Amino acid sequence: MAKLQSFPSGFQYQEAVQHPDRCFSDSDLRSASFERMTMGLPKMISGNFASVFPMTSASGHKYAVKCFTRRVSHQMQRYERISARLSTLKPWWATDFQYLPQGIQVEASLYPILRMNWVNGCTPTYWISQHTNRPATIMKLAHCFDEMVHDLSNSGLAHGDLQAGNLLVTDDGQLHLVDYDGMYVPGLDGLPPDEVGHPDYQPPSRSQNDYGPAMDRFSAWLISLSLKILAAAPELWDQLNPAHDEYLLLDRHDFLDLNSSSRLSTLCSHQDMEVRRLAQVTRQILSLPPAAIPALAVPSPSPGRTTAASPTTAPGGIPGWIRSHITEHAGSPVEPEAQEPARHGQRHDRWLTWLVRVLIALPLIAFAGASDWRLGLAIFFTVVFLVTMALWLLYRRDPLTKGYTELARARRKAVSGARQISGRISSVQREIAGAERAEERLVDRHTKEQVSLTTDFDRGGRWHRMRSSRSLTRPLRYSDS
Amino acid sequence: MASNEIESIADQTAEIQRQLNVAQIDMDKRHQAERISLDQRRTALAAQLGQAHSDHLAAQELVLDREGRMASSAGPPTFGRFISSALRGRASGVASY
Repeated sequence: MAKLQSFPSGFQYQEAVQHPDRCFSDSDLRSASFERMTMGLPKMISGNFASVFPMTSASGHKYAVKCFTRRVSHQMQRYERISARLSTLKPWWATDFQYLPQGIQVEASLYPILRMNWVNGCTPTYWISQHTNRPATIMKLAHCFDEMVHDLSNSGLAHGDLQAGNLLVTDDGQLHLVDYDGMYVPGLDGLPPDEVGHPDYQPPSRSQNDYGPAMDRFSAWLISLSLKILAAAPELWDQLNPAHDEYLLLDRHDFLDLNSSSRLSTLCSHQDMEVRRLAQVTRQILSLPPAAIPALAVPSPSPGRTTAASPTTAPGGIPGWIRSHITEHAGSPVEPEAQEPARHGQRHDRWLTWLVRVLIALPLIAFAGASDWRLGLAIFFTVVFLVTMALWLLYRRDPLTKGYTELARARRKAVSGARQISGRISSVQREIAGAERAEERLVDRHTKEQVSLTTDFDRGGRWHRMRSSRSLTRPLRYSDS
Repeated sequence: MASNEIESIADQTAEIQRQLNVAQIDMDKRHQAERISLDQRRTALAAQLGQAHSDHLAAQELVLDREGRMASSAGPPTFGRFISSALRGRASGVASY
């Protein structure tokens, strides 16, 4: 039976994998060949919990064989549920895998392995380095990522460790999500994994208690916004991540104190308005308590796709992703009316032009028709006044004017709504500060009560010791006397 | 007699100790209840804050959308421009109006 207390090291696995026919229990893997490094040893990709070996079966099928170097709690139970859920859903971003509880033999003991289908692709960090001259393609990747997160969320799943190392970009720009060790699927509540994700993509306070369907929100926003910022200003890639490390634009040090983060300051003061705006959103999102982070805004498929190609702004001056985000809830009651004037105007071109011309000519006709110049002047001004009024009415009733007025009103309403919500945020923040003060007072009071109780106990003890010592001395005196 | 007294004091001490233990447990329970209620309040407030931030983002985006649409038009449709475009013929005036 498998020795489950201690697991082999990566090197022990590497030694075993040199003889696939002997070490693997799976028939496909027994006949597989491994990729060799320069020394002739099997190629190994080492991670925190496991080592992965690329293998090619006799039929030419390529696998990634994951061998665990540490014990993972409820591993089998977790993988069974994850596998069952993903097999039912068959999401486009997932990779097929099979958990083999006794998949590999190392020094006479059997250990579990994960046999995954190999995905030909590269990590986003490498991919971005190759595509800094193609911002539209980076924006497409950002939208692809958004759709993936949306799909995960819609299915009630969460990956648990969304980060560049667990994303693979294929040649056609599609994203694949790998490493499901920390995944949440319905039914796995209360069975958190031992890991809490890559610290460059997780809130500093991330713990196992956060395990659940909302645990990806921080990393999802971070990756999505970083990709969109890079699409708007690709030069930031070399500026903010010169070594092309595992993080994208911000890392764990920035999350600790967003206000003193030099990288975030660079983004917030960038010359490009779009970058500044996205940086502000990033600051707002990352400063929220993890439980309060909203779900990632997702582009609606078709308009989102159309505007996704534009790295900067859509014709209306709104970035594509924001436009697509607001289509769902903001609606556009004004839009049909704003477009209507063009059609309406064309239809009524002729009559409006003639009406205006006739109205403008009326005072002159009236003046010319008058016998006396004084009377003519009076009629002229009266008609001018009446015609102006009529034109003013026409102007006010013009669909274009109405559309613009409506738009201005909608803007004022939106500004007022935003102000009200700002007020609500301040009020909730004040309440939170009050709750924090109350908590401090409570802790203080509890400590005092604890100390007071202990003091009472000490006094009681002293009193009894005193009583006890008196009672002991008394008989001695009797005996002395 | 002395040993009786010592026993009685020991009993009293044990009794006081027991009472103190009970008091300690009661106090812990009370403290925990107070903490739980405060924690619940903080969680509720955090959720409210999250919702408010989400709403704020949506509202800001709405403002940006409206401003973008207003910016995309040539400017506010003034009375003068209305007359001028109407005189020149509405079709050509629509674009600039």
